Formats: sequence, structure tokens, C-alpha cells
Amino acid sequence: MLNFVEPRVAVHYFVLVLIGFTGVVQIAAVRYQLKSLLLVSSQGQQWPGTLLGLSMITLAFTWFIIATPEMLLPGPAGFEIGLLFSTATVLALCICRLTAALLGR
Amino acid sequence: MQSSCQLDMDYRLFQFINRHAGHTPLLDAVARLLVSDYLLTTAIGFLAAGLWFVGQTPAERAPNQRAVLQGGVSLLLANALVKLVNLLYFRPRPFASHEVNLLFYRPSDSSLPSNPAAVGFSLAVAVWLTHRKVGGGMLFLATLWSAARIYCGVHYPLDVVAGAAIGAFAAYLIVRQTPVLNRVYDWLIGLGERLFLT
Repeated sequence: MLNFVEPRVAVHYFVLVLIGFTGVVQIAAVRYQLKSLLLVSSQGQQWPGTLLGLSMITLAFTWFIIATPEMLLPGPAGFEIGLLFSTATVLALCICRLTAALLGR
Repeated sequence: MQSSCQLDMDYRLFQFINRHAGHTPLLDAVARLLVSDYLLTTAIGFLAAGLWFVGQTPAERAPNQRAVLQGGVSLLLANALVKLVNLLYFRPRPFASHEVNLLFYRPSDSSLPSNPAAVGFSLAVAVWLTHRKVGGGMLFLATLWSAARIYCGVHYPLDVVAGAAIGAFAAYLIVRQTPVLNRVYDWLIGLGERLFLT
């Protein structure tokens, strides 16, 4: 049930989800005008935010694949990966919210 | 539990798919990425979590947000059902009984049902029952992940079919048959809206 991976792999995965989900949130925020989560001011255009979001997702996955050769070894148990994923997504949301608030959105 | 004829057919189908592994470096490299415990799970998770924000107004977002929560609960139920089946029946992995082209590490738990298939399909079907587009994307990724498991030599085809069936059943139960959880979903949705979207 529990198989905790090396801390290095767990940290890499956390960063993957943190950056990747920030990108997902930006794409959604631009598409549905969720100003409280927007990091870039688009002046009504969707492409800057969408480009930022897609870039973050691509960068996150690419970096993880290159920097984590251990990804082909036994992965974490469901509980561990769920915990890492949910914590990173909530943190990504908090970062978007706080940054948007500081930018006056 | 299965007739030897069915198991034989299952092995023949497995061989038909797995025999290609180990001969084409590019295809093998792609399959190794797809079969990993990290990438497609995370992609499916991103689609599910991203669905939370789909909609211009709280009223438009609410059914999607409920689908995300139902997906999470379905995943837990699917996991529990897989564990229950594992207590009753153990099937050795393909590499434990045959010479296979193995492109992954050697899991030691029961081959049937496939836990990744159960997890992937529980989340995907739960979302698909509410949002066809995003759910369709998740179903595609779950199918890709399951197929990679066969190609890489860690599951028989019947294992992923059984896992997918368990996942879909769990999703159907949670989405259609448990209205008692709606109050919990609504409370969580309200909390999320207040914290992040207002």
C-alpha cells in the first residue's frame, strides 16, 4: 500500500505538478475570464495567457522527463502520489490567487 | 475463475501486442513514457482538476466541479474494489509465467485486475458522465495508459478490461447512485468558490 519513493523523485514530481497545474489554471482563467487567478493581463485577448499556460505545462513535463531517470523505477503508492498531487495543485492555486491579488486583478 | 480456453486466448492476444516490444527503439521509448507511474496519471489528473474551472459563472461551474469530486470518490472506491478482488484471487504477471518482452519494472501484485486501468477509468468515466469533452479526453488517456501496460509486458488484455470495468462500475455507482454525497460536494464547491474564484 505504501511505497515512498526517493525524496528527490518526490520533489521532482511535486515541482512537475506545481508548474504544470499553474499552466492549466492559466489556460482556464483566460478562457473563462477568471480574473482572480490570472497572472498575465491580456487586454481581452486569450493568446498570451494560453501561450503561458501551454508553455508551463510543456516545460514541466519536459523537465521532469529529462531530470528524473528514476521515473521508470517503481513509482510511489497511490496515497503518496495523491498527497503530492493534491498538495501541489492547492499550492499552485494559492500562488495564482495571491499573485493576481498583488497585481490588482 | 476463467476457463483455460479464455486464458489461452488472453495470452495469445497479449503475445500479439507484446511481440513488437523491444524491436523499435522509438516506439519502445514512447511506450516507456506512457507506461510510467507519473506521466499519464498526471495528465489525467490535470484534465480532471482543470475541469473545476470550466464555466463562466458559479452556476455553470457547479456540475463540472461536482464531477471532479465524484471522480475523486470513484477513484477511492475503485481502489477498494481492486483490493477486495486481490484478496480473493491472484493472477501472476505475464513475465512470471512466460518469456515476454519486458519494458518496465516487475510489479509483484496480482495482474488481474489492473489497478492503473481501474484508477484511470474510474476518474475518466465519472467525469465523462457529466462532461463529454473533457471526459472523452481522459478516457483516451486512460486507454493509452492501459494499452501501454500490455505492450510493455506487465498486464494481459483481460487484466486491463477487468480494471476498466471495475473503474467504470465504481464511477457509475458514485455518480448515479449516491445522491447522499451531494451535500458534501456542495459544501466543498462553495468553499472553493469563496477561496479562489471571488
